[in-house]
Amino acid sequence: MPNDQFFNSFFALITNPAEVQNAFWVGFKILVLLAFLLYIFFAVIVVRQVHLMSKTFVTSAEPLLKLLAYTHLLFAFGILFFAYVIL
Amino acid sequence: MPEIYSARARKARRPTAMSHSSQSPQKKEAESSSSPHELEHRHVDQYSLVMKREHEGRNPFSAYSPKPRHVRFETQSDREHVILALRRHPITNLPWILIALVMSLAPLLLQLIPVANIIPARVEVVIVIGWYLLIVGYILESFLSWFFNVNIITDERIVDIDFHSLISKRISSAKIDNIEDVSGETVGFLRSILNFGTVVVQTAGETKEFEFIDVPHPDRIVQLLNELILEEEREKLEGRVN
Repeated sequence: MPNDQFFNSFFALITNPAEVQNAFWVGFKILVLLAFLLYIFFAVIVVRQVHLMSKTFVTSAEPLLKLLAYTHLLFAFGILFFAYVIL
Repeated sequence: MPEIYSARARKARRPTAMSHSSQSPQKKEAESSSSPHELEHRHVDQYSLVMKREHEGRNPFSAYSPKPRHVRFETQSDREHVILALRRHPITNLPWILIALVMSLAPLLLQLIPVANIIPARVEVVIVIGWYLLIVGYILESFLSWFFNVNIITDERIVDIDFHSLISKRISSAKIDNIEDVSGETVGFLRSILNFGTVVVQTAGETKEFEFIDVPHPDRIVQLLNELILEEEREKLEGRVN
């Protein structure tokens, strides 16, 4: 029966330590990548906010702040890529 | 025709080239305007003892920036001039700086935890980099929060720009005419030593109370606001309109 086959293979998977470890690291990688994706979302909001606030309050520091916000966003993307490659 | 409206009077009032070069752009603008009402508009140095003593603020990161050169705000009108831009005293950033420092030392503790030895090196690298990215985000957010929480005093009104979090901002303002009471307080050892405190402005407007929290030189700010109130009253008495 297909159900039996599934349970047998699942049982074999969870009793094999190497497979368990492998599954754990795959799950960990997915979690880490999700966390970095969330961080990118935060970095995008920071960029958006710097733009918005620079319109509200205009100073000569505006280009520097925008540069900081975009660099931060770039790093967030870079680290997501790095984590995807290295893990 | 009154003297003030005549071309001769306008010419006589125009400063010489030498004196012009030493004046601020705001002052130049006020004096080179062609409208009769603008001619009557006095530069802040002419009626404020506090501002007379201050030099132009050129540092955009300063917490106390008198007559700032390149500062404007969203709802500023063409004939309105920023007299003072204020932020919280830089020392108020100390808590988040210390938190960031402690957070940046945390990866060193990872070496002391025995469980950390079973983590593969590549995973450890990603965790540490992610942690430092989080710290950078925290620093950036804290800094932006300090930078964009501004109190502005113009020759027409006081403006409070609040940047509570990444997704909320609030701008409130009150005309100088509507100010009813101004008080400043410096409480605590650090505030007394570094001369910063809170200025509370009671108004008759929609926002009843403005608080300039932990701003440098609260005594000067109170004095300036009183001078601005007096100037507004003088303008009304003399029939000058802004």
